Amino acid sequence: MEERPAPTVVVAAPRYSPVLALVESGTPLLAVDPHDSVEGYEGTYLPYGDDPYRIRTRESALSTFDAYIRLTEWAYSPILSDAFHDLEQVDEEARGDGSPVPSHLAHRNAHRLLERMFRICRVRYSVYPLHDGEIVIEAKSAKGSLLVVCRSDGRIGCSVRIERRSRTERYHDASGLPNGFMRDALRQLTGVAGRTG
Amino acid sequence: MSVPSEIADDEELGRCVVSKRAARRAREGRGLAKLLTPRQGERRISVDRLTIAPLADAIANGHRVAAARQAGICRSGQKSRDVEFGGWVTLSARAVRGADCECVASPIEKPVGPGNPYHADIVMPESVLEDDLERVRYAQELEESAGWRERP
Repeated sequence: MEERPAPTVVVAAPRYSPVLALVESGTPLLAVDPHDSVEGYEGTYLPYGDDPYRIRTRESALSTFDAYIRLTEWAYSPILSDAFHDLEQVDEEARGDGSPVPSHLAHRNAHRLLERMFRICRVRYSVYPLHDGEIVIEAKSAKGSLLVVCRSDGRIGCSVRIERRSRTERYHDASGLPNGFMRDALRQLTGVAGRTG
Repeated sequence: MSVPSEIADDEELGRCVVSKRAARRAREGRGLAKLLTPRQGERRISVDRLTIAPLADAIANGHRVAAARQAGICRSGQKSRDVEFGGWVTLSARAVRGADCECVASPIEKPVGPGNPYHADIVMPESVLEDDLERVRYAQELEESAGWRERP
């Protein structure tokens, strides 16, 4: 009996838009992309990609694909895509403001924090540059707002104003964030328990 | 008409927004904190006294601010399609004072450009000079009372 080539799950990760494809014998069986840019693709996304994750059987490939989709379902939310799109525009906006462009470190921290904050609380996040190379992540609701300031030197500030009461915290770097302070604030903003991640 | 040097509590102050992107956000009530945050090492935010400024003057001033922004970008060899006077982020002098900030009339005399007798500053406390995040915290408090007024 002729052995079928092993299917491959490929995770391609353009800067802020994860793409997942299930490939068998070079033929894409299924692809997911929040921006629908994969339609009709022929594997040309691979230059972006992480290492292909090879799996022994078609069944295990399908099950891995399902698991990946479940685990990363949050990544396909339109509101998160909008926030990532804002983040991609930050440098251009800063230049238009006549302000310094935020550093790669500020971008990396903002990207990571956005993902993690979204897992805690699925609200709309606005992302924009401030005047001195910072990137701000803003979450708002009728109860108040939370502003996370990612500085170009890697430091992070968080300012929360809920029900007319302000609190701030400062961090040397982004490790361990979002912490309890941010999580509590995000949950208070929406008034729901939210998901942890 | 002479412009009163004292700003009354019920005066509406407006911060010109000269970015299409920022105006789009402001219409949705987002990103106001950015527009109300001074630069690092500063504690003043320029505003116009919309209650007493004739509308035509306020609009003309908004266009001048946009032109100055574009000129600044052009000096660095670029041109931005984002620059456009879209309207004002507004708040009352009472709300500014309620946030522990001051409102100070600061008319711009004619030798500097065309002048602006309706210019004022929102002045944050000195503590913002020592602590970056304080600027943002005050802006966040101000934005709570802020609104959006579209350019007519």
